[in-house]
Amino acid sequence: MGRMILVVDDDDDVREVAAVALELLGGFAVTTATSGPEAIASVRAAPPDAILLDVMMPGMDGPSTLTRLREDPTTARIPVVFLTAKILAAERNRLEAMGAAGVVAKPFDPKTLPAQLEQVLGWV
Amino acid sequence: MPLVPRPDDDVDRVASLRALGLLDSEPEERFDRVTRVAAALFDVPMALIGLVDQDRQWCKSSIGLRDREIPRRQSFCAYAILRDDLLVVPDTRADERFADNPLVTGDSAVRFYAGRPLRSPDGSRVGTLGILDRRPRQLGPTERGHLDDLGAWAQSELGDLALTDAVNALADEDLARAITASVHDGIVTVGADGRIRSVNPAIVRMFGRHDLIGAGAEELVVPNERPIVIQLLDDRLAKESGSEVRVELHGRGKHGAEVPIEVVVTDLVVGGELSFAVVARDVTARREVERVTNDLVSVVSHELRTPLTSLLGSLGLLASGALGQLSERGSRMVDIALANADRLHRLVNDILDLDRIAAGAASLDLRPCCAAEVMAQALEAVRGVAERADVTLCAAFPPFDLLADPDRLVQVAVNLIGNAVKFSPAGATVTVLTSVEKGAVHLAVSDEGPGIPADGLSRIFERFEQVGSSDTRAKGGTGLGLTIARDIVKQHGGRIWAESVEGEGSTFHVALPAGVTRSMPTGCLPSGRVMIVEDDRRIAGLLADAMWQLGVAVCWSSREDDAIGQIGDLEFNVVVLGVGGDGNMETADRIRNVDAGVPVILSVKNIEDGGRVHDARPEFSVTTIDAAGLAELIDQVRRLLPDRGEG
Repeated sequence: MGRMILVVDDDDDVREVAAVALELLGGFAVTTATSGPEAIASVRAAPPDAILLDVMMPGMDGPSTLTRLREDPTTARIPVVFLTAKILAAERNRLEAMGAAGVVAKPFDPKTLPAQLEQVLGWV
Repeated sequence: MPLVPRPDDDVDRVASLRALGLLDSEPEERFDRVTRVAAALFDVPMALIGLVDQDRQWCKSSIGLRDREIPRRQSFCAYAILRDDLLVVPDTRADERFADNPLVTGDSAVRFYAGRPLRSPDGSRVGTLGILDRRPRQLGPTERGHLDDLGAWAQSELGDLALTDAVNALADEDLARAITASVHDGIVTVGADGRIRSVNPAIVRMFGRHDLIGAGAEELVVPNERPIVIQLLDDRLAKESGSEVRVELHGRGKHGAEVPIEVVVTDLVVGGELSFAVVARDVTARREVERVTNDLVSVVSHELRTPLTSLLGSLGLLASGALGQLSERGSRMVDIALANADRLHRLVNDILDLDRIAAGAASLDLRPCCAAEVMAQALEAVRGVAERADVTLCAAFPPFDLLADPDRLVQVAVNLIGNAVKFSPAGATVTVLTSVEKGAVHLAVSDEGPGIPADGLSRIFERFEQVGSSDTRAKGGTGLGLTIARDIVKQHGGRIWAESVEGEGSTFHVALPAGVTRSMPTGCLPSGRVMIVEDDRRIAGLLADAMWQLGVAVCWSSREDDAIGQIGDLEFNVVVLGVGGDGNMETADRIRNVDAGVPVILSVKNIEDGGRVHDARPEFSVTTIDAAGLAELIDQVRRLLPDRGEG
């Protein structure tokens, strides 16, 4: 009990749904951030066990956020799972090649989201 | 006034006249001098060179006549062209053809007419040289000779094609210049030295430069693309490319802005010297449309998926009960919302799929793949739906590899089998059979649903085009599935079609060309291979499904000749041959002829037939198509399969 996941998405509703699903159905502790810079600040303040990171965000997008996290040794090892509306295999491969632990497609099924995360993170 | 008779060849005659290019042209001295001489010679107030077309007589040259054209029915010339020699009318009032002609009764008061037909170079009588007088008169033999001579003169002017051509050529040149000046495409000619010789206004507008003549052709494009242009012209000089080259480049437009251009280079040989015509089309607008289309897909992808994520997510959480129990009606409402959000999601996916296929973005990943694997995946995907709908799936592993994109084929198969299940009543069977016919892989998915009206059979593959769309919506379809299936099959170079008998069911067929590897696929299939020869698709489905339980590869053929061909090509462990009760074993004997060793089991519809067949040919095993018979068949085939180390 009590693994912490940081959910990063610029869309308030998506963020809340993901947070509720992970808290209520997965039993995780969830923190949220609305942008890349906010996520980085949050990770430094309280490092989570994993980050669910939206790809398309205004300003600093998901991949840039991941790069910034990797540059900082204190945050480099936190596993990141991308959340993306782009479902093409090429996009998935590109994201995985960046060092993401996995990719979750939007829309996700809230009932299976916790299990999906646990699986890609190797927590099962 | 009687109607003017028309010559038999009038249509050709008018065509020949039109080809002269004289109708409605300006007066010309070469004709006017003939009429002038004629009027003077015969001392008549009126003379003309009249050309008779479909509906009128039109004067290329005339003296003393008020109208340049008159209706054909009032024309004297229209009569003159009916004959080879001169038409002479000494007194028009005494001639019933002309007595009430307005030219006779009216101000012109024509009393005399003589006309000499004029022939075009192909011999058609296209008009006349005519003389008219206001008093009756006769024409003596000498005068007739003069008129004939003058006619011959006028005729030689008609036939002076060299002159006509020269005039046309002049017009062509003007026309060509006018076209070049007015088109929106930029046109430049480039000499063999690579320097621009001429430009049209569009090029000047496109590039905003007036100093292009004499400049190198490469200066038209952005610096980093200049080597491409130089290479292209070099290749053409060396004749290393075809007669026309088309490339997409970027022009350097006004103020240095880049202009996407499509360039077509064509060889020109002018005065024995090679040069090039370069046509540059500004494709900014086309690029913009492409960009907007791509953007739209991207926007649909992201902007619709994001709200769908929240919608499906929040509804899914509500329905899961994790947020507390809803009332029965509340939960029903959430289910409705969830089902519709889900449908919207599938619609978005389907639209994106179609768009990617249409844009060529979803290119095929062609590789040898195991058809059995494709079928197994597809069946797995729909088995749950089929069970809930109480629909039995009868299917078999196809025993071959094929060259295809397996993921896409699974998509096609899921779509067809899923549709068949959706439209089947409870308790019905959906039969999925594969066969190799004439080198093509053939998939047939049959249902026992309501069927499709004949006029709907081709339409159903169109976007959102269903037979009874309300019906489809009730079934939860997006209306795009068959279109996607069709596009994928087409991408594979195959064909998809439907057959149906209303009230009895439908069969969807997919034929994929060649690409079949005849060898037994490695790894993905069990070790046995069974051929089913049966023209009743329903029975074939039952037999195939029984074989499926054994996990063997099954080949099905409804046509004996195809089946015998395959038995000759592939090695089968067992052939199950459907026969009637009449004991006709010709096919069994033919099978034995191509493969003497293969065990043949005869399948019959009932026990009575079984008895008769067994009595006629005791050397063959016989099975009936019922539960007991099929169970026995499974046992029998299992014994005939290679030992798989089970005991």
